[in-house]
Amino acid sequence: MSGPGAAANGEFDPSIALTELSPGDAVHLAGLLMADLRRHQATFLRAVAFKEYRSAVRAAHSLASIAAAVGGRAVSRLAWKAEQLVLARDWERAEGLEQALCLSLNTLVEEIERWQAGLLGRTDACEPPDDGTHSGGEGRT
Amino acid sequence: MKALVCDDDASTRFMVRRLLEDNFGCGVSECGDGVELLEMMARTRFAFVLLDLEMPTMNGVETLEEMRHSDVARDTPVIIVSRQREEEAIARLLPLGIADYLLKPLRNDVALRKIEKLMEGLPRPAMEARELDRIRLAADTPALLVDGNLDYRYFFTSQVERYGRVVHAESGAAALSLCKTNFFPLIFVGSELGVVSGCRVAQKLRSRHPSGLRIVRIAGDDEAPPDLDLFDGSIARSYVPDTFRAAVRPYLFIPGAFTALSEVVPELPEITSSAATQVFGMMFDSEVRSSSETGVLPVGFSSTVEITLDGRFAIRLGVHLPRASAVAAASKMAGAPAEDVPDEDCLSVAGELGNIITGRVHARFGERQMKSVCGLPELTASESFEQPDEGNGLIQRFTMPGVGDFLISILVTDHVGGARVKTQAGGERNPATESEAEDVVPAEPTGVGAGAH
Repeated sequence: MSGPGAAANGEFDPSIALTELSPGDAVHLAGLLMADLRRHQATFLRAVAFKEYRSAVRAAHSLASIAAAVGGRAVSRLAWKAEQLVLARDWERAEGLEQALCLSLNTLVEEIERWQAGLLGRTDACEPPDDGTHSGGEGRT
Repeated sequence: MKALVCDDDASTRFMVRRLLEDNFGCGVSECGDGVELLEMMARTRFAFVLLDLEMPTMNGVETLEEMRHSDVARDTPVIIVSRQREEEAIARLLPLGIADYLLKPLRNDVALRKIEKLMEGLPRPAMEARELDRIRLAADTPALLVDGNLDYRYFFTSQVERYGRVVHAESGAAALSLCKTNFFPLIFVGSELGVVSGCRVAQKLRSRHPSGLRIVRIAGDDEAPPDLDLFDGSIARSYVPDTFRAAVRPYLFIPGAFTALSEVVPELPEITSSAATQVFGMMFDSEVRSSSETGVLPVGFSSTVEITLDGRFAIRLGVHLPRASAVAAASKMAGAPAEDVPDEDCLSVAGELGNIITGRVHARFGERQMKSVCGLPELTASESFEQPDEGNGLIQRFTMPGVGDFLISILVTDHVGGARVKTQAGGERNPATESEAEDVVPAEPTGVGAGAH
């Protein structure tokens, strides 16, 4: 199943994880995926800050894997790199990677959210403004 | 058949649940870490488990190790679902007896093939085969009623909710929508369903769940017999409780009072048993053991206490001592020769033992935040004790060196889903329970004289 907003930036590709689902299930799963991504992101940031080795490895690993499952190549690549740095206990460089990882994650989550909104028919959130210059979905949090 | 999915990612749990429900008609329970899994497995028997490796609190390997050391989960087949691709990590799991390994992200075709292979090899106990004929409702396996008539829905629910949960849909479309996110092993399809007819509902559900689903037509007087390719049978649309219950009985497992109690508090026999072995043992400075003796045990002194649990069950707990055991116990407690022990002291011993059991039961239910109300103890001095015939239950027999044998009985004298029952301590009675006597199945064997079973 594809939908509005699919793979807008080459990140999120619903055809990988959400095929063969009813629209209702796909919307629900999209919500769960976003929540899981955000949860692992928070765990990773906290674990790196407190140098919690196991948690950091697990969170980075999960982020990489979930991102790959929905086509999020940038997040997947950065999370994999972060995992390698934590495995090497290079906390300084892992911390340095955080900003890029968070930015990529934001993009990915926004794309999933936009796709979900499109599927839900919540066009009010994505409708172009009166001047017609809006490209759809921008400005949503 | 019930499966348990253990994964800290809700998205993975959701995908696996859809896979199992849509393709195998399984009931699926979920948990987020190993601790939760072990707690659930202690309460419920699962046919197999899908287990993630990377989880907080207790990871998959630790969980699997605990399972293999546990009596209840030792032999449960486990499929690992993980992102872990390293051969070394997977090899470490093999000694723990895993049935298969699924890589994340899940590929439906691979997952289907592996789960199908696992399910083909699962033993099907005789108990389950019998229960397939009559569906057993539970909190996570409710029945679905599809009917456009509000009065009938109300009547149906009032009758069936005594035996388990019922979910309603007022139209065919609403039913199909509900069935996308929930699995109902038993579906009753009535009339006035709107645009999507009863046959269409059955067709769609059959295509989604080729097996493990029972659909029953509720037919009005003037309706043609149902299409047996779509429906497993039909019941007459009756508002007469007795007629209705007789009609649903072939499809619905209606538990007896003790069975219903065991589903809510399976640990009750264990609580009474541990009170007997630990506290009585300390009181009499003797090692109390559970006895497998099944011979007749004439009872001289009894103490029974009534408990209402959660407003749903009237339970009569009893301690029954043969005269010789009561005299020996009273003699030990008073430090007096057996020939000097009066009957009142024997009765006091029975009463005291009864109070200990009741105290333990109350304490445990309090821990679980279940409300119980205790009735006044009833003491009897008689040559024999007969089990009341209005209920069913369990009788445990114990032996205590230096004192003798005694019995503890747990009799459920009344039960009803969600309504209140009356006890000696007072309370209310729902008129619905009055007609439930026929559903109370006596346990086998029933007599106290028959001893423990």
